[in-house]
Amino acid sequence: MFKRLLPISIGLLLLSISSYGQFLHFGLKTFMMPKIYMAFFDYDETDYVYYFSNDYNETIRFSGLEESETKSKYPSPDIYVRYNNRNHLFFQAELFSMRFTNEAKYKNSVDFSKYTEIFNPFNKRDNLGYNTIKLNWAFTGTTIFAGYLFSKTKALRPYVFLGATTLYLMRLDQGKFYNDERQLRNDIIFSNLSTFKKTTLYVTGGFGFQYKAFSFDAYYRNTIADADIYANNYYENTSNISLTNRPNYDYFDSVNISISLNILSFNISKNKLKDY
Amino acid sequence: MKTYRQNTLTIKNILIVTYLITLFSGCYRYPEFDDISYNEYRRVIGSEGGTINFYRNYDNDSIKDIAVKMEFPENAVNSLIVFNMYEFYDNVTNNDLYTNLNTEQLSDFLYFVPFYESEGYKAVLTDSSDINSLIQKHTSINFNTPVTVTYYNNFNVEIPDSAKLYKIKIPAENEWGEENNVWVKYNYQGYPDGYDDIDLIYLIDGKWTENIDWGTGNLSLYNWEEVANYSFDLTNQSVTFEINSTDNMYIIAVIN
Repeated sequence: MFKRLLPISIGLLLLSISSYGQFLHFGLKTFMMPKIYMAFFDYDETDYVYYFSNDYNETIRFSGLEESETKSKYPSPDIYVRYNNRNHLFFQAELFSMRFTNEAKYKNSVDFSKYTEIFNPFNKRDNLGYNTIKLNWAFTGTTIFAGYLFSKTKALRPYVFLGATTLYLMRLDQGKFYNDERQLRNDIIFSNLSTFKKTTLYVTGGFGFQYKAFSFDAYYRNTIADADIYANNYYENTSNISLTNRPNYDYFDSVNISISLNILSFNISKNKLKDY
Repeated sequence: MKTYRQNTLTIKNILIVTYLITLFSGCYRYPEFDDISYNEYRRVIGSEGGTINFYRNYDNDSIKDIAVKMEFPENAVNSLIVFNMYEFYDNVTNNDLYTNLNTEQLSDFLYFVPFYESEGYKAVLTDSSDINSLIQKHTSINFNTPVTVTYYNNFNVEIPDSAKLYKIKIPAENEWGEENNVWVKYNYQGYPDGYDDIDLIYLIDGKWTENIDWGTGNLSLYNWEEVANYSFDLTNQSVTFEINSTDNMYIIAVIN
């Protein structure tokens, strides 16, 4: 069934693209992620434990990522090329970067008062990694999508779009906050969190409004393939999984809002018009 | 007639866009991950054997600053066991030993609290709100083959020639009767934090022996016994010895 539908849909798409009213826009966009859903795989509590051999017998037990504080505080840059076919259909390709910070939470076996007495006696630091480790993420990404504009006679035109996104992990490191006494211990915790795939795939869909050269939209990016290098280990052997090669990240979804502006616009059907 | 000026797709414009994309992509570096092995820094051992190094927490968690090293031959234990290491020190006891028993303490009292990894502390964590309900007796683990322990002394005194290594009995579960056990104490997180201090003190100062009820005896070194084979390394201020079980505390001392 799918094999028949595919050529039919491609044929309809090609038919809908005529030689008339074609525009190519290059533009700048900025977006924010008000909500990021980066989830850990669920494990039995006894499974995900670090028994550190320091003289406080520190035991770290993971519980996941801090979701409530997971959002992008900074606007991210994005450049795009948009192809408008007649008045409704458009295709867009984007290249963007984004960064954000979240915290992985854990339970510490050492009492907080004892911990701070040892590592933070003058109370100069927040908690020195007592029960969280801060993660700094940076990605670049590409998105390709198709959209449909409504109300061709109106100045403010709503539209919907759907497409695919690829994210490339460019940087994942610890918050600089922890670069001190707990470095060895924090590095070990962090090294076992470095299992996010370098390249991950998503489906992106949303809606927006276009006003002249400006566009405003909101969209959701949903993980469609494994986000973790070792994800197969989770599905194949959940009950007996070791600390090494242990998958952490179940999915990485986000809600995004953006504003974009066409900087350069070209009427690529100009030559066709001249013929008439 | 009104005419419109239209942009054209020129080489110049393409170059501008290409430049922007290149600039954009070049702003980031690829991630670099440290490759630090948890195996070097964990206190879990299995039947395959290996080494547990307990590191001191001060001085940047330095990997060179080992407090205790435990070397397990193959098949010394049958399943995965987690070891907690403790160094016990009590000022009053130290004074009693010196003034009443002519014993000079030259190290902390070293002991281990093991538990099976498969058991973990799941019960503790699922009900950590009621710490008082958590009671556990000393876990006695007998090794199939002796385990070599090296203890790097934390005292700022040089070990004299007259010093010896002593072991002090910790009774195995119910060994001295059901009512005479050493109990695990817990911290506010619901995790074990060594053995009950008073239990340890009475074992050290002889107020509790296999023949004397808990806390009723007189000061003595009845529970002390010199370790059969051990060697001091005066350069590193350490002592190396073998243990067959977790049923003892160890101390470097001079008995006059």
